[in-house]
Amino acid sequence: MNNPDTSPTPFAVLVHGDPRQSKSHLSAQKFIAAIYQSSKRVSQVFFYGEASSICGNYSSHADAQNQLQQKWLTLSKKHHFPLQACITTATNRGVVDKQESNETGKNVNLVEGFKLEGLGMLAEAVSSSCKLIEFGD
Amino acid sequence: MPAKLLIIIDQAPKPDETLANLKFKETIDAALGVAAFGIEVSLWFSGDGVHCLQKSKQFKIIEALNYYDIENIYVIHKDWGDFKDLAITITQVDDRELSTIVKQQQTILRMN
Repeated sequence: MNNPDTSPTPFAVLVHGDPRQSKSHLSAQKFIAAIYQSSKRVSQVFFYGEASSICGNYSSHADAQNQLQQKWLTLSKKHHFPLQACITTATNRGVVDKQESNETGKNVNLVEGFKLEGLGMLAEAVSSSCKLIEFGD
Repeated sequence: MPAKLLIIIDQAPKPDETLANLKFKETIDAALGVAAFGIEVSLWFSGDGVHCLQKSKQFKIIEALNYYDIENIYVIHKDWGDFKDLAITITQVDDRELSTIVKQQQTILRMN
C-alpha cells in the first residue's frame, strides 16, 4: 500500500537585500526560526545581488554584518539547509572561492558554510514544490 | 508544463544611481538566467518601472529579453504614457487581465 507523502511543503528563501543597510537578512532569519517552530522546514537559502556579499570574510565588515553572517551559519548548521550565494553577484562584490583563487591568485575569502552557485539553484527553487519567499530592501 | 515566474519591476533608476542601476541589471540577469533553465519568465513593468522600457543606453540590457525568448512583458494601461521608441515588444493589459496572469504564476518576485 502506498502512503502519500504528507510532509509539509518546504520553503525556499531568497535574500537580495544589502546586509549593511536593509533589514532583509534579519527578517529572513526570524522567518526561518518561525518556520521551524511550526514544524516546517527550509530547503535552501539563496543570496542574490547585494545580499551575496554576506558570504565573504572582509575586514571592513561591521560588527552587525559579522553577527548576521554568524547567525546564518548557526541556522544552517542547526537545521541542515544550504547557504548558497549567486556566484556571479558574489564574485562581482569581491568574494573569492577556491576556484577563483586558483585562477586569479587572490586569497580565498569565502566563509566556510557558504557555497557559490549559479542561477540554476534559483530556477530549481522556482520549479520545485517549494514555496519561495523573498526578502529584499 | 514549465513553471512560471513573474518578476515585478516598479522602479527606474536615475543615470547617476550606481547601485540602483546595478540592481536593475541584476534583476534582468536573474530573469535571463532562470529562463535558461526552462522556467517561463514574465515581467510586469509597473509605475516608474515603465520608464526602463524606452530605448536608452542606460537600460540597454532590456533588449536581451526578447532576444532570449522572454516575450511576456506586461504593462497596465494606466501606467502607460505616450512612450515611443521602445526597447522591446510589450503587451498592454488591463487590471483583470493582469490578475489572471498573476494567478497563473508559481512564484512572484520583486527584486528591485
